[in-house]
Amino acid sequence: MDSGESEGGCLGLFVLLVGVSLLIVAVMWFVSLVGHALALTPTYPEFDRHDGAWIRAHYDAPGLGYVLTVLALVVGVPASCVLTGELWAGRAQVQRVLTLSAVLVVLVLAIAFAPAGRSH
Amino acid sequence: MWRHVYLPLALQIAGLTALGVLAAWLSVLLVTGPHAELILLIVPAAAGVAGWLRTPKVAPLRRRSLLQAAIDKAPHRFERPARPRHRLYGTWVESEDDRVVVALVYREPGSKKVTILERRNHRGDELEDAAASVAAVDERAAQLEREVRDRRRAERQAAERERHRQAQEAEDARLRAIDDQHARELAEREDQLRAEDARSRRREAELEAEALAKALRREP
Repeated sequence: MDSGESEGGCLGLFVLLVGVSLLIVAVMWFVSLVGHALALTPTYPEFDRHDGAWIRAHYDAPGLGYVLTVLALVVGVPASCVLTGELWAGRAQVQRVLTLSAVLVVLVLAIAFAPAGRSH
Repeated sequence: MWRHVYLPLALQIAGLTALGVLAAWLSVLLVTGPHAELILLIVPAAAGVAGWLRTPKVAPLRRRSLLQAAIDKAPHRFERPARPRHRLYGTWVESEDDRVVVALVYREPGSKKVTILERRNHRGDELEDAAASVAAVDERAAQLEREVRDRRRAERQAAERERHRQAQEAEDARLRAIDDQHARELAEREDQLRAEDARSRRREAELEAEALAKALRREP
């Protein structure tokens, strides 16, 4: 009985680990895709097939690129959605609109002028 | 009315035009760059322009201006101080479908937001009732404003009295401390004098004893 419970626990742990790994791969794949669209990071296949030297040879500051991509996804997209909703509904508060616009402008400028992305 | 309606409208048109031009320019940059991050700005800018285009412009500005005037031009405005720092009341009249609405409105100091406190509805042909409502609401607005002013004045006076009482207490405490200090110094001086007196009396007694002893002593 104890042996069966132990096997079940191991199987559960294995499934959990596989699930977490798949989730991490999916997140990395998605972040890399968005980062590549923003010209900041390599795609996940590039990331997967090549070593660090190749990535550093083809992309400047890939770490900064990933940070900016995550910021764009976590801060930029929600801020842009909220601002769009408020402006579309016509019930925007000036203070709120200015704050969100300032955040978005700073983020866009950071992405545009950051020393990260594909090497020329 | 021009200053409150058409000037803000002209500013809105200028701002929206600038926003539209900016959105178009960012769209060109998005394609030619390519700068995908510009989508974060283009979408809200386009939503702002579209949202402005699909909403009425003059009517809300006109209503807001009239609401402000309902308070600023109230009959009891002459009772107000030059720069009122309390809630201001007024009477707002507007037509709503086939009815006339007479409302008691107020605005907080430093705010432009006007809030409707209570409403009375009349049919369009109830001239006397509507006029009576306007007069009653005007009177109530003036009364409420007077009450606010009186309450503020009472609060100010109470605060002033409290400040005065605290200052008086502080002054009394200072005087008490000075009195205590004087009393202490006086007691110390008395003790000192008493001690000196005792010493001099003892010395006098010693001298007398010495003189008597000298007088009675048989010396060789």
